[in-house]
Amino acid sequence: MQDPRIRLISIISLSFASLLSLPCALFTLLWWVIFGRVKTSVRSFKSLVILLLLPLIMGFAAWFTGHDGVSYFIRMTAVLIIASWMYAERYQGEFLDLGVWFFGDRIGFDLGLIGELSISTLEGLVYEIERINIALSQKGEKLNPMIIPAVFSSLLMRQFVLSHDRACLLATRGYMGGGTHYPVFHTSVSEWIAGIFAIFILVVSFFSRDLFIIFCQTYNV
Amino acid sequence: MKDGPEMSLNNVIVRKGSFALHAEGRIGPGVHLITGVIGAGKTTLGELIAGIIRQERGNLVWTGNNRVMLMQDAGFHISTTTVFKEAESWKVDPDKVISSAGLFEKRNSDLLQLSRGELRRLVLTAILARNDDLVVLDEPFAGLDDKAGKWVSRQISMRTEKITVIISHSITMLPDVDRIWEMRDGKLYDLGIMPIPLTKWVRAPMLIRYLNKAGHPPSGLSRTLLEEAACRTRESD
Repeated sequence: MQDPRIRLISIISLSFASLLSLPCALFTLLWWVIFGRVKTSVRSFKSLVILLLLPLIMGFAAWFTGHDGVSYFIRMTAVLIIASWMYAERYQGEFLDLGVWFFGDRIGFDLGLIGELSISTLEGLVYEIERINIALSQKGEKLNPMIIPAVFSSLLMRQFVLSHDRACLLATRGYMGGGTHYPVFHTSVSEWIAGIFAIFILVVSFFSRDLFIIFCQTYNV
Repeated sequence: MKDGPEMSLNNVIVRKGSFALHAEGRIGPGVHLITGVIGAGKTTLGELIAGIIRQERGNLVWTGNNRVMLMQDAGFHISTTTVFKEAESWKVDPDKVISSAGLFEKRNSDLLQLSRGELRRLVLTAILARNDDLVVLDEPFAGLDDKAGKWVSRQISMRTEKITVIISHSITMLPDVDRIWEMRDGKLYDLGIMPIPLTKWVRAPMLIRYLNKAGHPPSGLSRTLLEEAACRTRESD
């Protein structure tokens, strides 16, 4: 899905719908199968396992304490899968496009810029941790509690240097807050249909509400 | 080809997203230079040779033992807090490595206090001290001053029985290179054993192109040989 506006509206609608209603969580998964790119939504099978591990544990704990753990697992799976799909569909500059389109050149630009910088930093961190793991394996070591302080202080220092460089670059280019940006969106008919269905699922969820969220009280903590 | 560890790449294909790398050739003991423009796939090839990544198709045969790769950012190799501990973590004689790297006065310093060049020198020295059968050095001269660059070149030259693969854009600090390989659009080309490749190196650095054009091609890539060729050019002027 190329249009980030429809993607954002869809993910908000579907996430709310999944939390509000179990049938709508199932509809959300169906929506994802029809409109989402299933194969590329999750990076790898390992990522999928990690993604589903937490709702699985929490769902099992809820089931074990006499609550509807299956319902919780399905809802959270729908929310996480759809979030993962949204991340996989993301393109560079998307936050800037969305920020400016929704909130204009001043606040929108700043919000978009913050989003872009944050996401690129996160991606950079993922890359760096991969490289660190490779480097450690060459020494015959693994990431363990003994070396975490050394590894992460080095990682942190590199991030400080990067942030400083970015700040200098923005200052050099005269950034004082806000900026001019002209977002261009490409929307296909199927994207419009996907968006309308997502909103439709949200509307349906209001009529079939069976909200279930885990609180501490769920487990009598 | 000299006796010793050897790597054969037979129709090897590696994919990284939309990028595909094709490699074919035999890498034997000596110093190999891999050149190519940025994004041509040099680092991916280095990772394949060092055993960090695996091929999707084809056959890679390695007859030696340990392989290691110096990454472009030496900071990734850090797993301790001080210079001494870091040298020790490579399981080599730490004092010898620290002295060789010219960091004896900083042996107890925090690693974060080292400059990028100093850190690269330390990691590079530790890697060379391990004397692994195959060492891939990704831009080993980046951030090094002239003196340190010469020292690294000398150390690499001593690895005659082992394989050293240098990925570099800089040609003014290189040791005597035995063979040149070029990455072009994701494909590996064997330009041959020195000094033959220097005359047919299409995308050679400007200095080599100039010397070739002037009719005085260098007989090697080491600094001394480049200087000799440049001097011949001056004499003929």
